[in-house]
Amino acid sequence: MSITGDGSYFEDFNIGETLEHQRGRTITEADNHIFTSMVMNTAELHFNQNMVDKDPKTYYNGRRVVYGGVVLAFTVGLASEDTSENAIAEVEMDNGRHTNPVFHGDTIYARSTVLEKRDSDRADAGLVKFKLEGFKPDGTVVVEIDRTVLIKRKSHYLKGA
Amino acid sequence: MPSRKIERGHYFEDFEVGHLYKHHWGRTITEGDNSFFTSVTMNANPIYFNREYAQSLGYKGVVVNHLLVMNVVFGLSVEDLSERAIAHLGYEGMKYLATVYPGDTLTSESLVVSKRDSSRPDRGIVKFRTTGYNQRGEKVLEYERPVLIRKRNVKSE
Repeated sequence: MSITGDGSYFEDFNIGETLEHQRGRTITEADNHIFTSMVMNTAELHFNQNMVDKDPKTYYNGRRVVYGGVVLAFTVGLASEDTSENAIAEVEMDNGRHTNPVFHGDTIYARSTVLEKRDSDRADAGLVKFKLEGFKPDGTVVVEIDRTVLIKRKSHYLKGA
Repeated sequence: MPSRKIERGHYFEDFEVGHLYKHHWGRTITEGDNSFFTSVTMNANPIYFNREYAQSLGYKGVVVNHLLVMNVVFGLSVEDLSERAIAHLGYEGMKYLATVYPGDTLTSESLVVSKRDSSRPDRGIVKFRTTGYNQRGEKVLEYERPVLIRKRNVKSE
C-alpha cells in the first residue's frame, strides 16, 4: 500500500484533457465564518448580516458573501486528489477571477484542464499547469485560475512499478 | 464622557498610487491551523498532514498548506486594503516563493499599483501588489489583486 495514488504523477497528465472531479462541497455559513476569521479577514460583508441588511443594493440583496479565498481553497481541495496528491509544491497561480459570488448553502464542484507540462529544475518532478474552475451545479463558474504545480515523476518515485 | 465611533478600513478615495502599506499584526501559523484548514478544505496532499511522508520528500516536517499561506497573507491585508470592498475580483502573478512550516510567523505588505473608476459612480477598482514574508524576512508569497471598493459617501443607485 502506498500513501498516494499511482494515477496522478507527472506522466499521468495529458495536455488538453479536462478532469471532472467527482466530489462537490456545500459551503456552509460555518465554513465562511470560521475561515474568514481564522485568517484575520476583517471585511464585514462576509460576516455581518446587519450591515448587509442595511444596504442590500450594495451587498448582494442583503446576503453575506462567502470570502473568495475560502472558495478558492475549497475548489483546490476538491481538485486535489486528482491533481496534487503527488505534488511537491504549489508553485504559481495566475489569471485568477472570482466570476460569481458564492453564498451560504451553495454547492461547488471543480474541474481541471491540463494546459501545459514542462521540466522543472529538479530531475524527480515536473511542472503541470492546470486551468482550475469551481462551478455550481447549474454550471455557473464561481472561480477560475491557472494553477502551476510541481508534481513527482513516476520514473523517479515508482521505479520498477 | 461622550462616546466616539472608531472606523476601520479605507475607501476608494483614500488610496494613493505608490503608497506602501505595512500591514499590522502578523500571524504565527500553528500546527492546529494547518491541520484544521487542510482537513476541512479536503486537501489530499499528504505533505500538509503526514510528517513522515513530508520528510521522505526532503521537507523538515509537515508543510503549511499553500492556500492557508495565501489566505493569511491576504487576510492580514484586508483591514488596510479591502475592508470597504464590494468584491475581491481575482489574483494575478501569484508566486509561492518559500516553504512555510508550522511555527513560522507571516507578515504582509502591499503596494498600491493603480486605481480607476468603475462603470458605477459609487465604486472604483484598485489594484494592489501584496508580498508575504516569514520571520526571517524572506519572501514567501507575492501576488497582485484588483479589488472593487466603495467610494466615500456615494449612495448605491
